[in-house]
Amino acid sequence: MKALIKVGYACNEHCTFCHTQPLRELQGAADEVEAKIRRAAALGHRMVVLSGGEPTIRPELVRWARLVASLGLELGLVTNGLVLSYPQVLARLLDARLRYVYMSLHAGVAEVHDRIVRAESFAIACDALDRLQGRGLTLTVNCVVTRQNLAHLRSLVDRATAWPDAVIKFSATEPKGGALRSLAQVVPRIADAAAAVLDALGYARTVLGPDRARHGGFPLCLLPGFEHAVDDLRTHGYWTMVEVGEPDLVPIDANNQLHPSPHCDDCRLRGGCPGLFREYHARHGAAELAPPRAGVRSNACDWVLERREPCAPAGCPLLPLGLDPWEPARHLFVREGAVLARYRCDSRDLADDSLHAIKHGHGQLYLDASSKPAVDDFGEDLVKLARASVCEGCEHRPRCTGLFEPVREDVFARDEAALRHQLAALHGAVLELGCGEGRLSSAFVAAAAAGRLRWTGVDPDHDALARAAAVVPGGATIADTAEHALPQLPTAGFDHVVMAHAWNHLADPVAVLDGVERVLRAGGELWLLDDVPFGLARSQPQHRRGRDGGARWQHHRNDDAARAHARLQRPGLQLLQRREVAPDTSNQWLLRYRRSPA
Amino acid sequence: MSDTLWGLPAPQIDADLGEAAVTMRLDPTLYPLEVIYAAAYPFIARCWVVLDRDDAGRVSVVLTAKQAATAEQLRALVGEFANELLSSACRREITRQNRALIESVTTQAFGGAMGPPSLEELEAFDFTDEPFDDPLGIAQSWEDKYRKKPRDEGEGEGAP
Repeated sequence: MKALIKVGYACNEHCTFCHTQPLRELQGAADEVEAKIRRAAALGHRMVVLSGGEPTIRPELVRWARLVASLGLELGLVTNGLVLSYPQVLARLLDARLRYVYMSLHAGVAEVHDRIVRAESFAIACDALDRLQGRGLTLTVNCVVTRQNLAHLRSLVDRATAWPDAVIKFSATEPKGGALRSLAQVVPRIADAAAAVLDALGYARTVLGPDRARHGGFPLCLLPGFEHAVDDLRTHGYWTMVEVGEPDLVPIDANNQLHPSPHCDDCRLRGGCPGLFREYHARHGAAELAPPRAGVRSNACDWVLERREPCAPAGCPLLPLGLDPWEPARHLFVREGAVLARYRCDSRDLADDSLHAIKHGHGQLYLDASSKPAVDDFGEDLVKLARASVCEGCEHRPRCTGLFEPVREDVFARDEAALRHQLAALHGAVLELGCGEGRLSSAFVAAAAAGRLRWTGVDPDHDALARAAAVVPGGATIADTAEHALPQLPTAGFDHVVMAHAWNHLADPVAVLDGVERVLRAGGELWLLDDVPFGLARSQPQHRRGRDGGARWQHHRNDDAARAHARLQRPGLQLLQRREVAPDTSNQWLLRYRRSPA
Repeated sequence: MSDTLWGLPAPQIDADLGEAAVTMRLDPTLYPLEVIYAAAYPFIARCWVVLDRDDAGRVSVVLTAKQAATAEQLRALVGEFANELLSSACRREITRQNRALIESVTTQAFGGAMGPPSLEELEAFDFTDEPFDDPLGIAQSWEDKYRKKPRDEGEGEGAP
């Protein structure tokens, strides 16, 4: 993982869009920078990336590089690259384990680039890029897309044919610093910029070959066909960053961006999508976004083991580590006895706010105690993790990533027993949509045997349905999807409709609800229960097994009880019961409605 | 009691002739606090010096002469302080620009005071502590390289 250390904000260029333009006079003290390099090493980073401003204009550059190397770390630079055109400087940096260069070049022609950076530097930058070839570097050429170079992106692609080691990146301009001060002159409308980038990405695929051009800061819905080519701090493996004057390294975040609600709420691209810059959204809204993308998505993520170390079995083991560097959502500390395990989630399948909800909102983190690629028996395979008692009342709790400990109670068995107890009391005609192999259907067996209940099971999986039929003798089955089965069923033919673990799998829930309302008798009840996303704390081998296991995503949405209830606002359905997911429950919620006479 | 000192800007400067005191209110964006400290220090032999900050965020400097002072003497005190402010600001800027050089010279001076290095010390010496050569001025800040210099007085006047 990388640490991004800002060494100061002075620069030998003066870009029109520069985010740190108001801070150009501020330079970090050398000893402050060196202390941060040592802190990055102590935290376990593998690379220190110096940034600014322009880090290469600092006279301490080579000394810092040597310090980085002496600590066993690799060196990276976020730079305009001009100083790297000096062969002797480049040689000294390469000796000091320079392995990563993220370099700015804003067009493939001098007059455009130089106008943007307000310096005559194009030729020097190209010279530096020539010298960076064949060095084994991870090399990115970053082009910030402004109004000035919107029509010149292909020229950069043409230039890049001479730099086979470089990946070209097109970045959206954040309205901040210089870009905010000259907003109308600098920042293009996002749809215009995305159209130009889409054209350049397609051109790059033809001219440079696959995976040589990427993008950052653009909503993915505006770049169809290049959704996989997103490039940002997380894809580059950054964990922390630190500005001049900040006392400690802090996790990177995307708090300057948002996914406009409700537009993006159901979009399947949301997890890895940058969304819109908040400042841009405040000024222009979300009207330029493409319609949200439908389709299946993940409902689980792995927090993967990074480190295990001895710790005191009581008290807080996190305070001595310092609270600032740990990501509230993506880091996970688990204490078991006298061992502290540190896990981390790098997945982009779910957005940061969804991961935060898993960990701190719904509290649905579990230790994977199985050796299976995908867990299939939650009660058997998983051990619940809950916030440690030492966190109760702690003044640091709001900003701390938190300490978790295993909970020995089987919350799945407990919650399912309570549900089965409720279901066993039903009588009349019961329609179970998505019954699977009848795991929950067995709750109806006694009532069916006593003649108080008639069960009809619906599921598209023929084999599973056959097993369900064996569970509830005398019941009827329909081997089809809910969408296709409901029109075949009689109007007002059922006293209860039960949908267990089906709601979030439905491609068209509105159509299904229309059908459910039609087949329910007046006074009949709809039982809706489903899961919220959850997280698994896994070892590296477990994570690899899960990743390579071939499990397919099946969820069309990840509604919790509140969001499902919001979709279910209908005059014909009256809410009877709502059971939310909480840190002390399993991940299953329940909504129960009565069909009104009207 | 507030008096005006002839020739000095009234909004920034108050005088109290009875107390032999003068108050100056300074814009901190023009004069950083460290510059004000440096300018005030030479006056402590002749004056009682009090620094404070007013509601508008300006730094107020009160110089009270230790001996009786006329209006003209107070006016001279203000003038001297103003010049000292400018001098301190300039010294600070020069120090900033020459920091690397000063550090290098200082290091060499200390090195010299300790006598010549041994062969082992020379072998272990890390020459990378030296700033790298920048013959083309590439590592100059943009401001140093491109910022327009102030015009000389009179330049442009009467041009054909």
